[in-house]
Amino acid sequence: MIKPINIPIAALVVTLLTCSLDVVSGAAAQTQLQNLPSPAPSNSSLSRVVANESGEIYLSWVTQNAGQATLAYSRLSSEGWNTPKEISQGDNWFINWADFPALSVDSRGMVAHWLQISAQGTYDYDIRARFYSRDSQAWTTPKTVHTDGINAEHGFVSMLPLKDGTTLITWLDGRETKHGDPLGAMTLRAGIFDKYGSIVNEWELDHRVCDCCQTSSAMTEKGPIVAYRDRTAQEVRDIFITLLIDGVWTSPRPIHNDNWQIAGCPVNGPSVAAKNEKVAVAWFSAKDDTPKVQLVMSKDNGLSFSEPIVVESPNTNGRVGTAILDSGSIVVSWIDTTEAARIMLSRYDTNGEFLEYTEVARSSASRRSGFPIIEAVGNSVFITWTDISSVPQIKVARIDY
Amino acid sequence: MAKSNVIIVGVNFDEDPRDLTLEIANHMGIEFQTLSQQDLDLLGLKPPNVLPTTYVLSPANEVMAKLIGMQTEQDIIDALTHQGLTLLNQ
Repeated sequence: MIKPINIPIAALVVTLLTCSLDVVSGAAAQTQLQNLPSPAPSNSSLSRVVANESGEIYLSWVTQNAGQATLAYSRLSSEGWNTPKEISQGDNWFINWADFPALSVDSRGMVAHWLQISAQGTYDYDIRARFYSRDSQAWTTPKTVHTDGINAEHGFVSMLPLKDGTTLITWLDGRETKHGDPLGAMTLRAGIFDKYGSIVNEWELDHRVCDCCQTSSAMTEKGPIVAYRDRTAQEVRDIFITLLIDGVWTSPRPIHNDNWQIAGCPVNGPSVAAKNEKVAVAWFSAKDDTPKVQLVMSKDNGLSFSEPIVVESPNTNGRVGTAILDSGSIVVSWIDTTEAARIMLSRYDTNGEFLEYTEVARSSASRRSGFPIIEAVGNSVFITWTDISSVPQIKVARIDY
Repeated sequence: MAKSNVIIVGVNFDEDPRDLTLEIANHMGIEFQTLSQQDLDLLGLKPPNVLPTTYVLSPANEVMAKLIGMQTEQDIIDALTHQGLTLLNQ
């Protein structure tokens, strides 16, 4: 049985009773949005779009039928989407709108992960992964990414192929949350895995992070950069980054001092993109109960960042994505909540000057609509999301700038 | 607090189908009532930006306080008192 037991279930309410091809709106004239046919069947959700170094686009998604979850993918070729291929299937997966499978691709192979319930605890689940080698044209048997053997929360994975054919996997690891008095905090860990799924190296990157916000990673000229939501002892939950330079992780540091102090989790992680020496990070915050999506940029591989640009405030619930085009301009995806929710793209030039808005689609503020995911290829952005207006259905679009 | 004039209800942040919400509540040992999406729509509550969030509503269902993070019984009593509301044991 699929157990879609979800991240922090209850926001409590205390009630006192007795007491197609479009030229997009607001965009430069040459910008065109093209809705692509979706290779995913109905009742599909939790999609991601990812490109390899050649610019080939892959789409992954999860379908749920009769208690069975299936992770599948398809590649976009000049003839359209290839026949979908199954990666894994199970009846004991942890299915969640914010913490969901990822696919990593490069010319040597692929890595895919999903979440599998490990015990009776509500958030006891493992990260399971398969590794595909183009040499053998076969997937490995499923492997558990972490080696702690503790029934605890493990998820919010980001994956990054490295030049030597290995893959950097970053995840939230709850092994410390099961012991100690008081119980330990959620940690951020990372590992490098070879094409067979064997661990080459593993680190704890941060000993105390926000419990249920996505991680994000990208490749700079200096090395991989990982962005995540930190958690101080004073419950400040600002966005931090760390870089792996010459085999050593830099000390985690904030990209900006929002000083958002909250004794809770926004379930709204950052998104980092990198191209050459440029890095961009977008994120959500709501200090003083004012929702805000912000963007910072770096021209030195993430060693320093610009002052934040406010992408939107206050009519947003975040769910951000970030991409850098070949032109150097930066695209941020976010949800507009002014009226009915809309999936939006905002584009900025290399100096952070605003260029244009693009409305991708009407959506829903509902969690079931998930997190839109974007990926840049050349001067185009591919975006995927879940349409929940009827039976859940993966959608895909391409925006040419 | 269950024997007072305060009623505590829960909301499934993830907006799962009703039967699934009840299954989850049962799994987690939640004994108080959980609201359906229709109930929420009537209240006009926007989804919170942070989990967990507690709203204190007046008898007229107006939001009187929004509390972020884990709340103890005393925290809620304090919030009620701050709003000039009195907890009556019944």
